[in-house]
Amino acid sequence: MSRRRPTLTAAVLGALLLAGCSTPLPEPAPDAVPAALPPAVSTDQVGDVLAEVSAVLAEADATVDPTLLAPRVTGAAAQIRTAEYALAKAGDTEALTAIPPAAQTIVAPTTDGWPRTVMVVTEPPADLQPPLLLTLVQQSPREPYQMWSWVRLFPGAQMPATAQPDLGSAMVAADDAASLAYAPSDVLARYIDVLNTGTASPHAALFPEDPLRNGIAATKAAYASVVGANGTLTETYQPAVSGPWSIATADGGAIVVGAVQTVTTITLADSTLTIGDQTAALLGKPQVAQNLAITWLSVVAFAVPPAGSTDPVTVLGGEHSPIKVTGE
Amino acid sequence: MLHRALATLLCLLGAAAIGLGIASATLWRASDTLLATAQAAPGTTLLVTDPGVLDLAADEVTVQASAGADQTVVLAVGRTGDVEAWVGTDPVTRVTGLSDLVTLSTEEGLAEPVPAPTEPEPTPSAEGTAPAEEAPAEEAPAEGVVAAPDPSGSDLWVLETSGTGEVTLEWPDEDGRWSLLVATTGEDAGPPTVSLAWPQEVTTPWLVPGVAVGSALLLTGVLWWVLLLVRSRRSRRSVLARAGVPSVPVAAPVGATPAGSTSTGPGAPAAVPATTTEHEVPATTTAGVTGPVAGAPLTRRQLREAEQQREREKREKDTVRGRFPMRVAGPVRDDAGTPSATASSPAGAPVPPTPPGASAPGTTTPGASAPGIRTPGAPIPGTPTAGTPNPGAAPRAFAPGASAPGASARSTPAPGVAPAGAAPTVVPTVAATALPTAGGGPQAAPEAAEERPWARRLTGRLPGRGRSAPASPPPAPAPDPEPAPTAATGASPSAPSASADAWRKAWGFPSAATGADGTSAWSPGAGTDTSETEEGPQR
Repeated sequence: MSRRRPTLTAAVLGALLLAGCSTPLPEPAPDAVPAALPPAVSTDQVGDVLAEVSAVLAEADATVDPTLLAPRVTGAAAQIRTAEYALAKAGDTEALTAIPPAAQTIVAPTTDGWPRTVMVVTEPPADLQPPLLLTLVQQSPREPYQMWSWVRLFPGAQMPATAQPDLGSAMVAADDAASLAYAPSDVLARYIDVLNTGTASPHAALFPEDPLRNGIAATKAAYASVVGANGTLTETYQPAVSGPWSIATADGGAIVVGAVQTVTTITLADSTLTIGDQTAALLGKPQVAQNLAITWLSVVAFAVPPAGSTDPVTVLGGEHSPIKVTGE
Repeated sequence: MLHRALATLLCLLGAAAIGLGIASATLWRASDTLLATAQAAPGTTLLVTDPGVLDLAADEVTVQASAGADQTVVLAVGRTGDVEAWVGTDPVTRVTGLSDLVTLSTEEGLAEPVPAPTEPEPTPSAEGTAPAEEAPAEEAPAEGVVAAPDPSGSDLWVLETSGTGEVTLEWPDEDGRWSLLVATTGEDAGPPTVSLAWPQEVTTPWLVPGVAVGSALLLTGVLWWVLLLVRSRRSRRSVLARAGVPSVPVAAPVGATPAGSTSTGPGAPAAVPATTTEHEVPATTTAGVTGPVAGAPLTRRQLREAEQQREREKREKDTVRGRFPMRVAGPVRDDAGTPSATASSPAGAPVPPTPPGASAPGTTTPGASAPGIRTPGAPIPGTPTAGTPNPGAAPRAFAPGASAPGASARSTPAPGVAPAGAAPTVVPTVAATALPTAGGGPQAAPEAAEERPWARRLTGRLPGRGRSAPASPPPAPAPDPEPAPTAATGASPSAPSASADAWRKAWGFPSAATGADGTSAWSPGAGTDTSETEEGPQR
């Protein structure tokens, strides 16, 4: 008995010693989930995406084949590009909008959900030309980022300051009325109202005059003058199928990019209408005798002030392009 | 034997420690990489790692994944949230950590199923224009066939590679939560196997301590062994010496010393009347002093002095011879012979030489004899019987015997009778041979001088013997405090000098060696020598 005990003690001690000698298995020690979400994409990733987009565009541009756009171009951009290809095929050498692949400013989203939006201000495509604002959207985890729109910034437009891409900017939901003076979708609706009713709109004061609106109005006026008493002209505006996409700016406001679909309907009364090159190219014939329907797609970029602000919404840029023309 | 065993044990322990130390840095040295493997559960083509697994054991990790020879394997690293969102509800094997040093622990399914990505909420608008473009976005392939999901090309990954059969990817850790996604793609894709390899910083913490401690132990053991061997050889030599030499030579000094003592013995009585009774003591003490000399290992200085002493004696002898041309060797020799014979057998020694002197004052003679015996007896084991070789025992042992000399020394003056009686009794014996003795002394001295070296050498070899001699002195006789220390310390003085001094004093010659101290006739003999040799407390 008395002999066994020390033996046992020695055995236990030895075992303990051996156990102490063996190094413990390393265990995973992940970084804590950060309180503030990190940007969902890095600058490098955005660069990769832009390169991919450019590659796809280049390939599609080369063959003027809109079906090749699918992998990286979607939404308004795809529609407009398709129209541009039609124009190009019709012989318009300047139909294609050059989209520079290099980013000047990246606005990366901070989010762990989908869809995700990245906005990129490109380098100017050429000297004395305004840069483009690209909107890249990832709808779901297994989908790639796709270019949803591009917008040529208006000359003199001041892009609101945004957070560095390594910090990231918050995504703003389309119906988020809490953080902004006006919810993004509401901004688009009000802009459409202004397009419809012009200065008579109660929101006219919200939007200072901008080249896009003026252009739409000018086009409408031009067609109206052509049609004259020989027919009727109506124009309707409505938000596009997707969007708007919004991302927060440094001052708490947001950049909102939305698309407006404009349909110009001309009904001719016993007369023919000779239409211009572009429309004719889309239509496939230079003349219509009964009616003409031109569908335009307008992409508008707004700078929306933060909540509590009474500042007007700034229109940063716009893209207005006919995407479909029908007529008899 | 025990020492040898211990020394051997030390050597062995040292060697073992060195061996273990080296082995820990070579044989048992940990691998430079920690490589752990896992295979996805059957039925899953996807495998993800939990956050923190990629930098489990080191910042840098090398991922190697393999599948069937003709299957494509995709490796991708992305934010954990992105990876899990990408996997969604597909069957997946999750790596949670290490189950042991070569195996990754796995679980099936995501720990927290990622909420299905919210459908992009289309703005309330007419879908008329865009349905064509939206259609491909709806997961057309996922619904259709059971094609394994292919993560390649996703914008979510920060690092991605793919290949057929086997793929390798290196991931330097970055801040944040990252996960690895392994997928096999294609039809009939099987579960992938993945291995993660982390470089390990291997340390050898036991090498230096093991070798250092081992070397120290080994060295100590070896030194110990060397020491033991040297000692054993020495002791063997000494054993030889003890066994072979002593029997003859030892007897010689014994015989010689008694001769000296006898020579002094007679001298003492002669002196007693002349000077003080104390002279008896010196006689005894000096006689006794020889003991230590013979017994104690001699210092070099002592040897030197002994040499000088011998020379002096020789000179004296010559002078004495010159003065006393008469040579009566015969009787003296006889005298010397008897004690020597008796002395050779120590047990008997105490009695024979002294009885003559002791006959009258039983006290004095024993004292004298005792030291006398001790002298020769010192080298001989039997001496202890004399009762005083041991310093510690000296006082006690001497007490009986010493009390005699002490008493006699002191008592002689006090009770005038006793000394008177003593003196006469002694004197006669001497008287008969007074002159012869004187003549014999010199003769005996040479003998002693001749024999001494032997004895000294021998005794010198035998450690721890003669020191006992100091016991011989009278235990602190009151009248003379000095003698006691001198005697006590005076182990060293050589017998010849002492006896010669006594002899000289007996004959009224100034003590050559210690002329300065001539006053206290007896102390110089022993005292001066001692003071010269080692300590001179009395001076």
